[in-house]
Amino acid sequence: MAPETQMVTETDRPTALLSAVYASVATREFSRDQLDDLLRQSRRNNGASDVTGMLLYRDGRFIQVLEGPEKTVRDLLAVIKSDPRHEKVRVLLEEHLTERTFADWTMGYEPIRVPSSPVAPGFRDSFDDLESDDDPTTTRRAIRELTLWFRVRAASGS
Amino acid sequence: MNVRATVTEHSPVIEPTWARVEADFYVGSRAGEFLGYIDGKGGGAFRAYDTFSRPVGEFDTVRDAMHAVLAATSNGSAL
Ligand SMILES: Cc1cc2nc3c(=O)[nH]c(=O)nc-3n(C[C@H](O)[C@H](O)[C@H](O)COP(=O)(O)O)c2cc1C
Repeated sequence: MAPETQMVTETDRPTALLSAVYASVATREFSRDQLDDLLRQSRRNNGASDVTGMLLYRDGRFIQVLEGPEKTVRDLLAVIKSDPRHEKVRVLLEEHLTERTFADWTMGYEPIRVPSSPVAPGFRDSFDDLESDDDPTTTRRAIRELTLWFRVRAASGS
Repeated sequence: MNVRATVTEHSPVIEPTWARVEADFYVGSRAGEFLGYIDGKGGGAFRAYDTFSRPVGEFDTVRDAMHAVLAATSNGSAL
């Protein structure tokens, strides 16, 4: 068997693009400084390993999208899962991509304005839907909503 | 019988789904298709955007903004 090499050529199979989405619970509430440290660390590593994505944080809960070469993403997910800063890591969706959704972000982040009131009757809450609903149709819709929101916020340069 | 669907001559009308992403930010979809979104600007102003994220107006209430998003879609601009 050929040993794995660092150099990935176009003929290698592990370059298939994979997107993985998970939800987790922070072991302790993250301060803005702790989040910044985590983002700095993530962006440095991801930039070097060709991983892109988005991190969401609300009320002590994370949702993260990771995209990149399949093996890289799976290995990173294993590392992240064992990070003591969070627990209850639950993978919500894994799918192959032809194109990255977060090509411009080694780890995109925008602060979420936490709603002060419960969602009005008849409305869904994207974050809650992702965390509590295992139906893939709901999961995909909620991810799409959060992705759209992220792009709008990122474009407005906040 | 599904009380949320109205049967017309051609096809059932499927109710749109509205989801809040954060305070004053709502995304509309129907049967998995993105319809548009509403971004609250504070001070009781809600900007509505169509399925191509083009602005369709600014409104005093979320309800009015929702109607504007749906109207922009049914005008055929999304079809
Ligand atoms: C919610 C969360 C998201 C994370 N996301 C990433 C990431 O995108 N990329 C990354 O390299 N590390 C991420 N980490 C950190 C890893 O678990 C791990 O600490 C880090 O990769 C180790 O990097 P180092 O060897 O450079 O110290 C994340 C950790 C948490 C808790």
